[in-house]
Amino acid sequence: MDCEGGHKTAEWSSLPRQIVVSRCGNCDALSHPPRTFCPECMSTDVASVEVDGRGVIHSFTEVRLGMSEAFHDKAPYNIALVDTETGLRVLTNIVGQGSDSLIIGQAVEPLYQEDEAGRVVLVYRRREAE
Amino acid sequence: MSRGQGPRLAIVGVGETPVGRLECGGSLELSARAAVAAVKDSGLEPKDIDGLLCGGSLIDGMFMYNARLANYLGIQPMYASMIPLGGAAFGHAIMEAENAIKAGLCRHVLVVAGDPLLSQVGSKRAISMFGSFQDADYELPYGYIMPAAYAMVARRHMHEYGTTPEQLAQVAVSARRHASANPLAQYRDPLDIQDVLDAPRVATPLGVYDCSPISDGAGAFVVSSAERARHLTPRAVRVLGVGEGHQWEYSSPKRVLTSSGAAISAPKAFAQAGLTPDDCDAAQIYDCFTITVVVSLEDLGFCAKGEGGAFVEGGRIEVGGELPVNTHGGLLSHGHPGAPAGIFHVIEAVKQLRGEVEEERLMENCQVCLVHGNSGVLRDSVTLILGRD
Repeated sequence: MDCEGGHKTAEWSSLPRQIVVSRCGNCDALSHPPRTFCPECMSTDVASVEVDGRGVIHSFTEVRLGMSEAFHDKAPYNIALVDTETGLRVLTNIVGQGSDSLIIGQAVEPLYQEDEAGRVVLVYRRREAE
Repeated sequence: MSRGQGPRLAIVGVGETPVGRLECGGSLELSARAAVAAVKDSGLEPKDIDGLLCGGSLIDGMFMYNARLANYLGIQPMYASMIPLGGAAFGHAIMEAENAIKAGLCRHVLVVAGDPLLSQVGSKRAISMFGSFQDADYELPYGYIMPAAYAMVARRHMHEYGTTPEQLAQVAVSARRHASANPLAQYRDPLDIQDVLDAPRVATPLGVYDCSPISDGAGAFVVSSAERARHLTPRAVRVLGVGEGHQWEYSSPKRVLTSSGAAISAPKAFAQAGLTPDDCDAAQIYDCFTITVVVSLEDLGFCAKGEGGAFVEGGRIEVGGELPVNTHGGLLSHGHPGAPAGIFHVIEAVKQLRGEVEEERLMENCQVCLVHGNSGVLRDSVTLILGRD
């Protein structure tokens, strides 16, 4: 079995405000996280594409207590769900602003940055008026 | 009462250990203690137990767990499987037992789970383990923990429907009131709304008392056909209806974040039973977090969408109120031992229907009790309607 491209880890988009997702060649559906198949029609004719990642905060939380061994040292930190204009939902961290100022509906834009482990991670930040 | 065409099944015996810090062996030993109590309670002989369904163990590994447990118990089942479906496992076990008994594969099914989560791994490691099944690339790098996902549901519910922290706190306070009258519960000290609001936040808006603790414990019950149950014991509890449903996970754009699988599973269970939410005298609802109960009450049909917060106010979900919920203290105060967590809701329903609980939390004439299990982030749901035979 050819496993080329079979493991879809986060891919870095070099274009501003774009995120890497998969698009189905059969039904056009977008998928995030990217997959090797289309969850709508199960076609395997899918390709990684860059789409506009801008969106709004659907909900968020600030994790305050280090209740989990895995993320004990990371707290406090926020986690948010962002609904993109292209109809995707992205789990992410909002960077560059305190959690106290986050609100549902706030406009945000994506960027890729490296985390402490050297991993490329898709995060979001406040979207300035254009 | 008119009754529908539900499964021809009955729960003929229940058994449980206390929940808390037990320090008495691994998951097999804990499971055995509950299993022995359940088989004794049923009046069956060990050789009569020819079916085994187990919820597995978070810390002892899933590989061949059903066979390892059968060996430990010293039984030789004709049918043995496992259902690692978190809080929805034990409703699903009833569906599997129904199919196996109907098909003639076995006659008496022991359903059991136990885990020494608190004494063997402790809270912080356990919370990491619950989160570790999530996506390594798209969830874990963001610091995913289960309380954070439920916190986002709570925040969205507050945003859409005006649900308040005080209303969520009421769920924890009512659970504690029931636990205080249950000697098997982990947390029994008095708790009021201000205590819940003043406690440190785990993941805003949820605080320590909005989240279930980590515990050790085991539970078991025995399922037989309704016909055999009649000859076996006068204390059998009938399974009147059962329904299962799987909602999109919280991170899918198809998911309405404030909805749950209960909206799919409950109508099926009520239709089988030929009953409605109004016919339920009590409800035992999986309560990993306070928000879980609020959302589930709505989707189970006890109130309209968005009215769950108001519904839980003023003692309505306490014994003596309109719809007592989690009369054993729930996961929030009775405790959460991991894989077995949802089995205690089933056991409590059986005990209330039999009238066999401590007087301070005994309901007057409980005839029909709903049990609802949930796993994932309000994703997988199984609803049971249980009633006196």
